[in-house]
Amino acid sequence: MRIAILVSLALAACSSEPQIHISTQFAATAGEVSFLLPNGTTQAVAASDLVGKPYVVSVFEGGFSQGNDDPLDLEWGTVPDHLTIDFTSTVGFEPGPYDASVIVYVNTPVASEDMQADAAFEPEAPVGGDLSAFTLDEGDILPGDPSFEAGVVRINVIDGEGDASKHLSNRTAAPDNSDALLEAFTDTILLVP
Amino acid sequence: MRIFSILVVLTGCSSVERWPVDPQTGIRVRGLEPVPTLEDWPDNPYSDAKRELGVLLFNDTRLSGSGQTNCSTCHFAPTKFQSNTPFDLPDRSVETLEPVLPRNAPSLLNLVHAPVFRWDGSLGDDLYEQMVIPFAEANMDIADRLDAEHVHDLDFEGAKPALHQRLSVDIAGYVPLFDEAFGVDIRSSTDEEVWTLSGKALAIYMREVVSSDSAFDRWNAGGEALGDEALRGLELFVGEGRCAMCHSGPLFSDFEFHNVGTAVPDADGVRVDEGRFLVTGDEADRGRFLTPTLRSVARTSPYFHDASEIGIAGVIRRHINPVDPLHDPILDGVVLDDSQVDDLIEFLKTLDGAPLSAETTALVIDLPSQ
Repeated sequence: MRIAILVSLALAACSSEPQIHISTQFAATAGEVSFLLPNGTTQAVAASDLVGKPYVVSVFEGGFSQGNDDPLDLEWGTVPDHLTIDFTSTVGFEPGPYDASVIVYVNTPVASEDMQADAAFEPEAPVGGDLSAFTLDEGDILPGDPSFEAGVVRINVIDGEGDASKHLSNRTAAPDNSDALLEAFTDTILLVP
Repeated sequence: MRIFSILVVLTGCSSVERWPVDPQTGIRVRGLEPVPTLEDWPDNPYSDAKRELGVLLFNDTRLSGSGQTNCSTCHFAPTKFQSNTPFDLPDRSVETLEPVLPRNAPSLLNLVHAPVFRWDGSLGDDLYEQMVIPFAEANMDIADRLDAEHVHDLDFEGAKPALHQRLSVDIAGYVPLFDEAFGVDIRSSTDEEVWTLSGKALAIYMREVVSSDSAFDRWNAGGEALGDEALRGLELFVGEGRCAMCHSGPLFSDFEFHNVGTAVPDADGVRVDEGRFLVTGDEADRGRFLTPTLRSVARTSPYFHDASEIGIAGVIRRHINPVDPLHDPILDGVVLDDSQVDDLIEFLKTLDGAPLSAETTALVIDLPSQ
């Protein structure tokens, strides 16, 4: 009985905490979606090649070690026809820094039984042609918080400010325009080379 | 609560007593010294001009056959100068996604301290040469002559003149940069000279791609405390886990070649990758690969030459359950339970080096004009 009460209290506490929302939008032009590669060049992928592909959105403690720390929340799914992945966390988060990963497995085969939130979190490393969230902007690292690794974006849950949100999209720029390129490398989706 | 507090105090005391600082060496754990200070190279003294040139060469996609690839494509600066993907694509394969390069691109962290390079130790031990070899490989294929059938070949014959042509004529903005860095007009240099100078400039840039000053180093020098889990992990690392028998020295590598069961033979005895055997032809070298450095290891997933493990736990379990008949006997008899594996991981996390500067990891560079 005592355990049950504690659990219910904990759940109640969690549910009142802010949630994290991540919107990942793939803007298509003439049926193609263009992505930055890490070296600043651009490559187009047919939108039809993205639809139905598995994705996993996962949220970690800020500064986590990729491959070695478990996520606090995650969601598997497939890219919908409208090319926008809307993630809302299933748990609440205390104020603090969190790192979110968004991977779309365009080329990596993922078995349906592995696409379960409660499955052991050992997703495949993305291979060439897969997609990953990325940002060069370190402005979201608040004073005293740990830095984050490539392949994730920082989301800060601020005390008293409610839910935290992040918008990602397939931003691109001409490789010879440094300013535009720097901007495009912010909250973007990279094509893994 | 009171008992718990006493336990904490006792644990803390035993850690300090177990690992006193040796007054002679100034560290607690002999054999796991800090990364040494890198002295200036007599044949290639540091200059800002060389460093800037090295950054440009590292990031310029125009130095690849397709114009789409640079060093950072596989040695991605924001991910500790390594690839986070299992297998990288050779230049010109971006659109077809086939074939793939046969091995994971390891991190370049501390490369300037390494006495041997590459997973199989091939292609010599000259750092400057290592820096430019990818121009002759399918990785970058600056001469644009290596098709899918020749993805494993080396094209020095094409790459050296192609690099010279690209830097001295096609992208003439490099000419004054070489002059400033080395006092040389590369328009009148030989292909070989430009090849070597390019390697020297890239190597100068790599001097700042270093993992050092970790939490472990600070503790090892008598400074900040490590957590109990990490200390238990250290005990295992140097003790019954036998990790330090190969992962030793300032870089946590003996720079030798070991078979830890990462390229297991099939029923016909054939391995997908024979590793060191490909270099030496020695039967005993089948399945052996270079011991990787463990500095910043928790930041350089995936692991092994084929990137077949994403997490360190999987790496450790593969080590203690080697299925290759030629596996290194060092691994025999090592038994670790899950909590010990967790402790080892906590120790390895203390090897994270100080963050690289934003200048070191910059992706957006103003490149020389044509």
